[in-house]
Amino acid sequence: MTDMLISFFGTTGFAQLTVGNIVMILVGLTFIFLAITKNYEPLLLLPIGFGAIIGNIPSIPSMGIGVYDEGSVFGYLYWGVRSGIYPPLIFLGIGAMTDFSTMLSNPKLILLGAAAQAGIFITLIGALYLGFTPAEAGAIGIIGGADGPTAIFLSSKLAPHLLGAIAIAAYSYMGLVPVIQPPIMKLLTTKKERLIKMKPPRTVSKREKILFPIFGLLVCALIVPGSLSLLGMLFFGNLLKESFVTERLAETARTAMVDIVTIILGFTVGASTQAQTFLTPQSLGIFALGATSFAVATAAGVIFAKIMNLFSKNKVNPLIGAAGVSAVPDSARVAQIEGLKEDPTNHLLMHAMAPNVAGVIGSAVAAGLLWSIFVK
Amino acid sequence: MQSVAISFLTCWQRVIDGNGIPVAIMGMLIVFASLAVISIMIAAIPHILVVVNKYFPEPVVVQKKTAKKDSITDDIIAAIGTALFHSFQASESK
Repeated sequence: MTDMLISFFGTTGFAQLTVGNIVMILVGLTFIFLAITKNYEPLLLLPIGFGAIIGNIPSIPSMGIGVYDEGSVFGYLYWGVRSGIYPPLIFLGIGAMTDFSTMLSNPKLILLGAAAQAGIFITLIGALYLGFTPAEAGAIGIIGGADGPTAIFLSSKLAPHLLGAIAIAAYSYMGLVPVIQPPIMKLLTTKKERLIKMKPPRTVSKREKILFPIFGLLVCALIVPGSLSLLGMLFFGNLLKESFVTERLAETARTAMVDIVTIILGFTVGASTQAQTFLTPQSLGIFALGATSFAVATAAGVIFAKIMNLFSKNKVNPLIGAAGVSAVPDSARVAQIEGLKEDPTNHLLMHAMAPNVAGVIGSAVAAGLLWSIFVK
Repeated sequence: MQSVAISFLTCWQRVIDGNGIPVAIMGMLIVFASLAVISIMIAAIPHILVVVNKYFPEPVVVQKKTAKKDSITDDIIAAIGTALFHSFQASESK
């Protein structure tokens, strides 16, 4: 009887729990706390946090319960992450819910979304400097794109062993956009610049909205075929929305489908952060580089907006440059809030959405490009 | 000081070995060029549509005028009716 009890205790999680597991469970609890009390990216941080708790409850190896165990339920769900299936499905949903009107009405603002992608490539240099391999550096650099699905997609292709750390870093910093961006935006702009009022966007015709996803896909996919999986689905989703003849499909893509994929993606990414694979010096380096990449991306967007103002007749409020960081719609919301702090009548949200959605396209193009460079 | 310099050079050598600078510059240029092309394309679409609309005009969607909804709903009528009924009952009992 006693032997049985002792033997049973050996199979419990308590007997096998390591300090690392406890740390990761605390990290999971912190994510859940931030999601519920601070409303930081709750749709992602809550599933990731809960997944992190589940992923760090030890089990008997022969039982095969974890995400890395072949044949386990979590393993099957995680297969969609490893093989890069979920991110394109999320992009389909994003496409079906995104209104590109503001971007179509003022196309020069797209360049702000392009400028903010500098964060990706500066981080790539930083990662190489810290000793990561080129493929790993490419996967880490994409954190600067501030796009969770893109980061997961690229790391599943270039550095699957770093996927957990990269995904957690990307989503954590996306949640921290309202904390990271404002000081940089203030530092790089003058009060006069922050008060710039922009012309209201023009009305965009239905035909323009329909033609954009078709032309946009052709341009991006022909220049960088590696971006086809992500941008193909993004533009397809947008065409479903804008054509008005497939409203039922668009509705499903932007609601039920994207919700299901988000739940599974967030949960399994969280569950993949087992202490043994996650708590490494490499992860610390990834987190440091992630913070740098967000800061550089924000600064690049703001500085480029200032450069544009040197040549443009219609001035751009440089605060919206920060929205080139494609954390939709958080970074656009930050631009709006910072603008309102200076002038309560200056609403920048509509304008900021243009570089924001352009940033989504830009980061997907960058991901496709890095994939094509570093693919073996 | 010398060890710091050596360490910097060692780390920098990794960037050079990994083609970090060329990849970064090329990457930034390609992403920028792609989005610049999209930007130009978007700017051109309205001009293309002017020509297209000449031959295939965009159908004007005429919104049907919906009948003005009565502001007094059945519930309100029922409530008024009940109130009047009670009021008449009260006056009769007096």
